[in-house]
Amino acid sequence: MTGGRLRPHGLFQKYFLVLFLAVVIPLTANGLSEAWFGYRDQRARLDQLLGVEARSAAARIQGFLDGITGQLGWLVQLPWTEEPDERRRIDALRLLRQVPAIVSLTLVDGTGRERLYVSRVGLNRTESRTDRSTEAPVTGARSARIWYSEVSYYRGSEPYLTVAISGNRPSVGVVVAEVNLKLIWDVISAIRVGETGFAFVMDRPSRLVAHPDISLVLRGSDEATLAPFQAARQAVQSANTGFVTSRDAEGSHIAVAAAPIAGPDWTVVVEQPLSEAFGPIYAALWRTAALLLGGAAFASLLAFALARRMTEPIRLLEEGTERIGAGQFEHRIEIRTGDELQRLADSFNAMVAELALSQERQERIAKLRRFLAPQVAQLVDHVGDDTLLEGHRTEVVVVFCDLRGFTAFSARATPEEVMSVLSEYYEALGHIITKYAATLTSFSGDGLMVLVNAPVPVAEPALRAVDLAVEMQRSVQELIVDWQTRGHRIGFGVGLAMGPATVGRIGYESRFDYTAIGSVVNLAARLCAAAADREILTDAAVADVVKDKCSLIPLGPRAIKGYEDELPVFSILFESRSDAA
Amino acid sequence: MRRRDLLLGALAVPLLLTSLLAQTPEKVWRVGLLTPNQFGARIFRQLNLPELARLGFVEGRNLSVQVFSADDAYERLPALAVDLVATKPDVIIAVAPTAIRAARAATSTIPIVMAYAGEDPVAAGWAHSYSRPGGNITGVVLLNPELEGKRLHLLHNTFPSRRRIAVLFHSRSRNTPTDRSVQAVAQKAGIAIQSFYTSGPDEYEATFNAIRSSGADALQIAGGPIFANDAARLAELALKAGVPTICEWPDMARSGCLIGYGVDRAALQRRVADFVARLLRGAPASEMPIEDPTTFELAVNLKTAKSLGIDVPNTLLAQADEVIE
Repeated sequence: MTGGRLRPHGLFQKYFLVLFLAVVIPLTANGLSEAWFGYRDQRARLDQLLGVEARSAAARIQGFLDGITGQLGWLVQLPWTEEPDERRRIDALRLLRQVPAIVSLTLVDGTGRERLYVSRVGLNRTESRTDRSTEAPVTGARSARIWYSEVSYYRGSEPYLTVAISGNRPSVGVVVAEVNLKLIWDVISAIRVGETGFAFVMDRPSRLVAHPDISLVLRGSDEATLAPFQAARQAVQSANTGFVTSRDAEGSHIAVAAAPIAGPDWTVVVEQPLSEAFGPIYAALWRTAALLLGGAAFASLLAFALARRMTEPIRLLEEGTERIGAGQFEHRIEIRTGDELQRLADSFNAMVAELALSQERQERIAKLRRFLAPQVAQLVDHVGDDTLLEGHRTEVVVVFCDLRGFTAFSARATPEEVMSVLSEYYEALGHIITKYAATLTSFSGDGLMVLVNAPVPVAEPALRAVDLAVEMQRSVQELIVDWQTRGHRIGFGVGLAMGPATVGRIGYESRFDYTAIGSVVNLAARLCAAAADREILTDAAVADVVKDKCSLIPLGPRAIKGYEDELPVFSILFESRSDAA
Repeated sequence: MRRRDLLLGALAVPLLLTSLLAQTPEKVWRVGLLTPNQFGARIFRQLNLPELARLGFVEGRNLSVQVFSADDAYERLPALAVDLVATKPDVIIAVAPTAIRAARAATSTIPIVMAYAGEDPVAAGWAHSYSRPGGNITGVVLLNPELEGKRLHLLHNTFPSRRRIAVLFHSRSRNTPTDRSVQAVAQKAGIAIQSFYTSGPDEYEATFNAIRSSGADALQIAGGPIFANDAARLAELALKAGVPTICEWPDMARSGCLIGYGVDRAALQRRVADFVARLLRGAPASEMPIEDPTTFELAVNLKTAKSLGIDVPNTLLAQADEVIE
């Protein structure tokens, strides 16, 4: 009980926690695993995506260069002769028109002499015959067919590339083209990685060759400008697989992947803001978090409702038991859950009803026991009917008895002595009254009154009353022997009479007695008063009934107080137990 | 209380956003154009404004353009530049070196876009370097000295038999790098040239008379906004003089010049618009590399050739991006 008081909501908390966890744990596990796998998938997808973007960007840059080299190939198909080649001059001029990125073309014959130079800005030359056989573009193209120079920055700003191509045999010579790399801008600015991602190109010494923001390229080999791009490239090259994260010029995180461009040994780097690249992951994580939060809220509501539903009847039961324990038997536990708890409450209510009934019966029996013999009381109770005790007129045998010389004795003896004598006396008589199922109506001091045949009628009431009286005399006479040895001079007399009397309960509230009213009571009382020690006096009515069964001595008519005529009185003979023995 | 604050906050955010959005168009960027004549203004309206609109700066909505034109009176440019700076524009576009010089003298803080520098801006002291101008001037250079030589060479190669070539300069171009470059190329290629300097439209008639009487059999009209502005008039005078002419811009061929060889003007103006847009967005001019032209065009007017009664060689036609028939 005290433990319950200390934790009044212990069960609720337990139920709530269990129900809540039962929903939230699987939900969380599911959410977390989904987030984790989603993250991994997205990373793998990003890896793939950026790789593809990088390769495709590289292919487009390669395509730009291939477009140039493909056109240049036309100029190195036929062998040179010693004569000026007018057709080839026109071809070269047309090529300039065709490919805007080419700034100038130098055609070198099989022996390495310059035969033609055409330019957009510079002055054209024909047949200058300058020996260019030892220059890097010519030797490079002769050994590798296609040769790319390093990127050069005109006035430290405008990027140029020199491309040289040789034909399928030495006699067709070599064509050297100067390419303005600003025109890659059209290609590079058209590459979009996701929403805001882009690509840029770096050459071998990590200078910008192409970038959507042309001014970054035009800063040439400016270290401060190049640093973030170099860092990104460095990161992706050292990682060697997939994409890596780096920081751009503004310091924001970016995802970076790279792909090589074989010819000029450039690298295409694609970058995408990490926030955008991981956008779907973040979205998924937020979604998961929101779902978890919502799930937890729902679970707590559900758990609260369920725990409440489970503990509320238990609380009602608890409260009910307390109230019933406090004696409120009219209290009923109201539970309408339609389950075992309701059944429990119903059976509890039934039990309480039984308990109340039983309690009531106990009280009633306790009351009846005060004047009825236990077995009679039980009987009355089983009948479950108080009408038996209601006033009515019936034939009863009234037995009175009291001690002779008790008043003198009580005046002499100590109170302990008096109480000891009385206690022995009543113990003996009570035993006998119970044995004969007689009704004790009242006792005062040393005298008492017993009814036979009321409230429960018995067979042969007169005989039974006589037997009762005889047994009383025998028992008390035994006590008297004992008392006399202790020096107390006490005797015992009994009187009984039979006749009609009004019997019933009299008294108030819980203080009730059962008694008989009528002249037969007076008669019995007078006979008792008249009886000497060892004497049982009875009236004619009793004597008449028991005369064949007992030995009676008619004492003749006697004057009895309260009666005008003399009445015949009989003495019943009995043998004391010591006599019988 | 706390909840109400949150609620008010939630309400305030969209309100703030809409008010911000509503305010954005109210910011009107101001661009001042300093040009020696109306031609620069015309070109700006025709080629720059559409590109600026594409880049998000629409005239009448978030862009206002003020044109300060000297109407061929070059000496007025410094005063105009001061007037322009007084209007506190966000960006100044200066057409041609004279205007650039005037604008630079008027301000060292308002960014100036060169559209375009005929001469080397580093040599002129306008910029620290091409890759990092370092001041308030950036923009596009035209490679004029090189291209002027290239044009002379092209004219000479196209008509090798014509040995007496007249070159018409604006009088302000006397002794400029361009002038010197043409002389050098002529000397190198062994071409006899005679330079004529004219101060403006009023003198054209007289100058062309002088050219004709000099016995020139071909003409190069050197670069300069004043000649671009008067392309049709000059082409007419050249035709009258009976000389094949080469001009600075491909679009001058459309106005009657026999050959126009030079920078793709539309592409160049797109770059100028890009400079203006970047500067309006707040990028510093000092960090914005100066750009060379990238694409070149050759235009040939066959109608003029026919009127002159001359054959245009196939080599020239093979190179031509545009042939006007």
